[in-house]
Amino acid sequence: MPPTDGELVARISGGDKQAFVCLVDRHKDRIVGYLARLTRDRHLAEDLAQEAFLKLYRYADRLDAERGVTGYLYKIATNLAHSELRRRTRRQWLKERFLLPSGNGGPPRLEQEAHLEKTELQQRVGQAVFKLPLHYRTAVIMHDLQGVSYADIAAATGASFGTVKSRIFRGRQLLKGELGPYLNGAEWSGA
Amino acid sequence: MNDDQLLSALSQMEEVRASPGFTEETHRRLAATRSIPQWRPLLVAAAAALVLVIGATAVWRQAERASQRRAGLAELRVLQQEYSRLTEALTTKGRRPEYLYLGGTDQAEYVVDLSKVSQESASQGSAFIPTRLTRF
Repeated sequence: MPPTDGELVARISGGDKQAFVCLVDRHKDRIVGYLARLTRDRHLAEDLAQEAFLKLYRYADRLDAERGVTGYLYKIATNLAHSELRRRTRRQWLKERFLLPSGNGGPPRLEQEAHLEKTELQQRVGQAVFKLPLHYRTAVIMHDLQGVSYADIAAATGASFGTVKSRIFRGRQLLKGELGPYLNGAEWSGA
Repeated sequence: MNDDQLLSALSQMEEVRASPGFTEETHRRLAATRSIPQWRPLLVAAAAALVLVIGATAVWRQAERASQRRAGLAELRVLQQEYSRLTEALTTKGRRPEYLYLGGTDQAEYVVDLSKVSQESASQGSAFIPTRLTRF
């Protein structure tokens, strides 16, 4: 019988690196997938996911494993991703404002790798999701793509239950507005 | 477009999985991360305390020096005032008196008004002749 997350965390807090490897193997796809959707950059997603696991290792002795390791991982990953995305947005804005003035006066754009999606539909959906404001994007990805519960999203983002529901609703509305014309025009059946 | 259609569109997104070497790379990063020695926080705290003590001592000594300087300046002012007073007294003593008291009786006091004495007769050493007796 494989050890539970709580048992692994208890072993990790005692310095057991093998338990850490086991925990990483168990959760890596979920966290990398989440961060890849949030950042739309696979390399950045893997880097942030590794950093999230390292943070979990460092603070393993302070974790309440009964509350679930996944929630902690989502919380750490979300904080890391938000910090990095804000930093990149600031840097991009400064670059466009002072180094390479484009003159169009538009909002700052993130330079992203768009190789995560293969089909046109995937690209459209990926772009639409990425265009969402960061808090809406985080909530929609966690709930609609990762299947995380409202309560876990609230714990991971530090928002209230109602705020999470509101963000998901608003995010979906924006996505419908963005994708509706394309999907209706393509006579997409939704199947 | 309803929620079901949107969720169906979202479900078309390809699942992103961690690359094959992800776990090994994470483990390598963990090994590369130096653990913080137990004595490091104590060293930092001791250094901070030392800096605090040095700073407090410097401030205290500066305040003490300022106090000494103020006391010295006050003492200097007193000495200057005393000097001025003595200088004034010496000048006053060296000045020629305006009146010369000759003596007196119950009825009158006799003085010589020196401002009326001729400078020439005084410098020639002639016999002193009061030019006028003033009676009070």
